[in-house]
Amino acid sequence: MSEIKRLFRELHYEVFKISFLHAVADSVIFFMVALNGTTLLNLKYYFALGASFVFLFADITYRMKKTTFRQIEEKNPQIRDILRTARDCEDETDFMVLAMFEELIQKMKSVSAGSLIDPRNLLVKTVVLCMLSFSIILLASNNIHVPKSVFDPGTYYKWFSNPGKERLDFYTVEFNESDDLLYGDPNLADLGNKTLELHINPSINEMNFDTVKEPEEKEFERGTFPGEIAAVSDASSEEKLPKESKIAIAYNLKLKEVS
Amino acid sequence: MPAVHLQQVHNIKNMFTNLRTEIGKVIVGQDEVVNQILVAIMCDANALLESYPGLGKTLMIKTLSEIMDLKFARIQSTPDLMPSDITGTYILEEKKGGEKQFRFQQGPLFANIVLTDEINRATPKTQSALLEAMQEKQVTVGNTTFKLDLPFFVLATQNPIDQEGTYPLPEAQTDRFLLKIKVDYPSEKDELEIVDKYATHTAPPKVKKFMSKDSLLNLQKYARQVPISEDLRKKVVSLVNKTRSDKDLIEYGASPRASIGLVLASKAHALVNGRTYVSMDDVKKMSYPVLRHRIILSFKAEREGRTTDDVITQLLQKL
Repeated sequence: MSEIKRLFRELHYEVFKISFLHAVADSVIFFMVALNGTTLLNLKYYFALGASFVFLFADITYRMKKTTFRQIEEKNPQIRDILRTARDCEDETDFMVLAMFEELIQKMKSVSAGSLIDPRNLLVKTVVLCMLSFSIILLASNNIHVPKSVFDPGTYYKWFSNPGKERLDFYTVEFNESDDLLYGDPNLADLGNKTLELHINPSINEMNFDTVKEPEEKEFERGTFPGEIAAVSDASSEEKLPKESKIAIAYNLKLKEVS
Repeated sequence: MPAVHLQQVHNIKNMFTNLRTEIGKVIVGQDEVVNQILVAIMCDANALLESYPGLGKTLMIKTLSEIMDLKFARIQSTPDLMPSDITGTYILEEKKGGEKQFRFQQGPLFANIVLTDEINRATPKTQSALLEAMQEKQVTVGNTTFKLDLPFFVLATQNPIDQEGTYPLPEAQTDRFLLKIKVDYPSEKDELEIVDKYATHTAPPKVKKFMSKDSLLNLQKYARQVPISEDLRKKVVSLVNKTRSDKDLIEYGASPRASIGLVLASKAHALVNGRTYVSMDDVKKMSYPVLRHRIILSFKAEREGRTTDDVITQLLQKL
């Protein structure tokens, strides 16, 4: 009987819709939890996103298997016996079986997919989502993350190999790439037998005070003020420093640190 | 899609409702007994009625046969009742020319509904003759076998009080009765109505015919077609198995015939109540009349004062 087969197909579709809804809600929660994790571990968010998609697929599959007609029967006790019987007699065509299919089709009009959703469950999920969102904001705004050294076995090795002497310190000072300029090229800064040639351009420091003229006296006349006075920006002194100067600074600082 | 089949089932339901109303004109109360007798008829099976005298069993069954347009016969069992008294016998008949020949004179078994009163008063020999009719729907006299007219049901009664000079039905024979129906005393209100009805009029009220034999046979066919889920079938088998495994309370349990009977009775109960499928409620309701005469309680259960119905209730709770 095509009507009853169609009815069961529709029922399967309803089961899929409900499973999908639950799986999406669960996946969003999973994503939030994973995002909290990646934020703490200072990882990229794609890890959380990728894992959530895998979770979504797995959850739908699981729920489709788990959500059976039995659950529909539990939520709709008025159709429990007839639905169970119809499922067992799907291919039969006896008079009474056909009458039962007709009765089931009539009774199914009173059954909606909404009855399969547990409002308490949805409420709990919504609350969990809100709490997770709040925690993400908290972690991100305060830049809270677990230091990488926590996962470095060397940290623990040093601590165990020198008991009482070494401090179990997970916090190490890390410099950004730009900070390397402070020391210059690490190869050049390495002390050894290498000869360091310093070429310092003396042009800036070379000043002949004899050539300095006395300032000319000038009288300001009323009404001869310049119409517009503008300051012309110049390159900063730091930018003007030649590369060799930076190397020299780095060298000096390193020497200072060693001494 | 027009619900043609469902409409017919509704018509069947209405017919049973009218039938009950019509019986109600004659029989006051006893709705459950009427219901169970209808179930037995729909299953094309026999029923054993256990009741005290004077509760209107004969009137009830006679009324049913009138409503269903069936031939009714009554046998009053006594220890001197012979098999030929119920099956019929060959009598010597003289024709006009003086020629003599044997002619078979049909007994009361050649009816559609046979009420056998106090069956346990009949001798085992007579009970056996009845057994063949119940099971095979046929009667054998001498070397000749006569097919009985269908539908054919035996509704036998037993008196639970008087056990003197009785021949208790052997287990094999009680097993052939699909149901054992208990007829209880009416309530005070019902009894007052009975008194008003029968102390005023001499003859019972007239009833209308509702069914023909053919429609009854069709209904029996539909009763077997009522679908039952696999889950419920398993529960039925499990229940009957429990009567065999629970040795603490039950000495002898029910046979697989009880499983068949319970499924069939549940189907008929659903049809009689106008439903298109069997529910757990049908199984629960029918498990008492189907099982109560098929289990023998243990000494311990009897000592504790339990009845078969108590034990069945306990088994149903374990399901």
